[in-house]
Amino acid sequence: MRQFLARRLAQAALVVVGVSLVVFFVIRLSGDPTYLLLPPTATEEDRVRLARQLGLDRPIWVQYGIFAQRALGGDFGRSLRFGEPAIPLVLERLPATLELTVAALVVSLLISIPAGILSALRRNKASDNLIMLGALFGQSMPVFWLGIMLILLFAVRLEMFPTSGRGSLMHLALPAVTLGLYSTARVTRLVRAGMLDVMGQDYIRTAWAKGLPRRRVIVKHALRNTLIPVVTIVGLELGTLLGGAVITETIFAWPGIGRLAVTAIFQRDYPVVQAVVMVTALVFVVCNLLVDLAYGWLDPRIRFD
Amino acid sequence: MATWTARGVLLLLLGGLALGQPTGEAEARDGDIVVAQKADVDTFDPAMSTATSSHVVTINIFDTLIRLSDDGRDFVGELAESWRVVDATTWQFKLRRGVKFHDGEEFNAAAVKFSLDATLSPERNTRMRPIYAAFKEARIDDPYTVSIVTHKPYAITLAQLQFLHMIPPKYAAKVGWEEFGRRPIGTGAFKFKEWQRDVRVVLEANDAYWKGAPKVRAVAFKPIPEDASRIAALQRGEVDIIDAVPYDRIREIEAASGLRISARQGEQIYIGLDTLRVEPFKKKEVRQALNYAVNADAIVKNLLLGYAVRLNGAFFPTTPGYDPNLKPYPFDPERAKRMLAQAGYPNGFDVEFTVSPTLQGIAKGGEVGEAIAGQLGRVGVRAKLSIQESAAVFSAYSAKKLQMYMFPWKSSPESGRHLETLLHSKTRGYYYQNPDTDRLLEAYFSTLETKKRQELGRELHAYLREDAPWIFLYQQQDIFGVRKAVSWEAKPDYLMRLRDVTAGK
Repeated sequence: MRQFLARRLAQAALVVVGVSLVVFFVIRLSGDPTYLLLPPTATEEDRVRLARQLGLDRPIWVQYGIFAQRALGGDFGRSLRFGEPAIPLVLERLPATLELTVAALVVSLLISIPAGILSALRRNKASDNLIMLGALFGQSMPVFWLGIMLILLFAVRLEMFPTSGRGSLMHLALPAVTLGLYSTARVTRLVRAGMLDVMGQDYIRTAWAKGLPRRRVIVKHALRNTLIPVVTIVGLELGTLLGGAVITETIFAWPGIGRLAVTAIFQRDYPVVQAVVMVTALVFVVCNLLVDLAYGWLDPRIRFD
Repeated sequence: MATWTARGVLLLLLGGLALGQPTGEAEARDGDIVVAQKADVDTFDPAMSTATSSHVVTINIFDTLIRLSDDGRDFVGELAESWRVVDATTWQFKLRRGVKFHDGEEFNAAAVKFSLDATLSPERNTRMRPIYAAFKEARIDDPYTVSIVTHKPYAITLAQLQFLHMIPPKYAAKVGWEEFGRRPIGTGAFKFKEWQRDVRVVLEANDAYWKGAPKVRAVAFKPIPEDASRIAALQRGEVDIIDAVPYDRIREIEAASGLRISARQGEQIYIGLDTLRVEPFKKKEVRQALNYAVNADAIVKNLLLGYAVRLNGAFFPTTPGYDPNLKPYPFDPERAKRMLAQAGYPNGFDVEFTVSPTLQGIAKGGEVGEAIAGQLGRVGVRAKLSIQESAAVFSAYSAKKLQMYMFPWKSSPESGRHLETLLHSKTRGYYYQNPDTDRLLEAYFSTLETKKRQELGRELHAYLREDAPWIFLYQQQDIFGVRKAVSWEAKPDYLMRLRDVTAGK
């Protein structure tokens, strides 16, 4: 177990270093922030002065060295746009994003697990076909379009929810559904397939034969064995959700890190982009680690060595 | 039959409905007037932000010495009661007495000097510094008289001063710039109350304001980046004013019972040509031919739905010296073809045409770019459209790599500052350098006397139209959606002063 953890942590560290390299160079190759920071009347001289002040005039490898050294100490530099340290800007928005992501995951699981089970139990019947059709719809709907449609219907027309912003549970509802529905479709299919597979197994037949109550067979024997691939997908899905949050947060003016990232990328606010990506990478890596550990709990046969 | 699952799903649906009970009246508002902008404030330190979204908010907290008149052509006093030109490089301002900052600190000549020094400071290297490059210093003549000294005679001193926010020396020194950028204090009609990043800024009325208390108690600014969501918030009544309404949603807002549209003149859109490296563009006749080849009127009418004004040259209609009698280049493809043939390009030529739809302020950039490329194709100029993201375009622009590019300019049309910045070879001579233009520009910007400057402006305007460094297009409008109960109107200074604005139910 300890060895397993050590190995996984080493892998995680490699991933983080890799991500830092990619984000550092990609954002720098894609454009220069000095133009966007100065008024349109600025001269070449003004720009050069600003670049020097921000350290952008040095060779890119030197810049990376400085960045990596400081980042190890948790210092990601100052936002070019806000003039404030980048890490607090990200951390103060992280709870909003986590709240949205978790809510979306809950929405997704609350719908997909019952729907997947129902669909498997009623294989090829009307309800199964209906659910699968719904899943197809859910997966093909762009998050962007769905979000705006929900706003128009539930906020503007029916006046049930606020159109955007963060605050009460009411504010959370529409963005969580928007973000959650996409992965709902995928997880439903997965649960359905898993259940169908498990329901044909010998031990289920045995369970039926023993005369166990239906509910016990489905929940204890079948569902539990279906959950392993579901947990894997949920772990990966978290990445998708964090990514999807970028769009959802922009549509719903949700004050999270996804929206911060979008603005920072357009402004070429290097330190903030780097900080957002690194924090997201860390969250993702930690989640994957937790998923791996969850296997052992779900399936005692799995050993970590 | 799996009744428990069915029950679960049912419960979930019921729960969803319960959660979704109509909230009826939109919940507690953040202010009597709520403005939704596309972007949030960067910082409240006026010298450190160049974003309009910041200035729209800060102008309610801070005052300036002067402001642009509502017709967009003249300047009127704010904290300056009067001013006069002492000599070619000195402007003297008499200040209003008895004005206090929100914390009680007195506004006087020392505060003016401090505000200019804080912006010009080489150590801070502020973002607004380039705007004041021509300013040498502020001299205190007496506690309520201050002289602004420029390095050389500078005709647009007033236009630049409309952006200089007055900041309190003692408070700024006490809290430092970073804190000042978070908790600002000014002399303005509203006091800073709260800033939750990406959520809202709340300001409350300054009852001791020197012009008298504002008409409402509190105002709020919310950033809502997505156009459709911002419009939805207005339709729902959550906000009162929204900016950046896309042209194709205007009808819908006008048709809604409680809403209206307020518009003002915005960005000038032009197509810059590399007259230094691209062989055909070195010839004036070719550049003129392109102006004949583009049907800007059709673009204004069909793509921009009429929300733009055709321009007859590089001047805005409010730029001093603008000549309304000058005709825009007429659409005449036959003539364009003839001119190209005479210039030695009977078969046209190839050129790369860079457009960035994400460039802030260009309405329908992609569509307009395609239309123009198509029109140029009809006279034989094969413009290969290159669609790029804005920061990438800026980098290529300063690296002198663009051949032909569509750009916007909006800032301070009343000064004509864009002409000096974009067309003088010493400022940004990336793509166009012409000693005659330089001479005309220098005369235009160093002449303080209004009438003489108008004349020089007319001469410059006509010369540039003839020399055609750009393909001249149009000035598009900025569109705002407003609740009818709110009395705000869009103004040509691109700001949003809320003191006089009333809000009914």
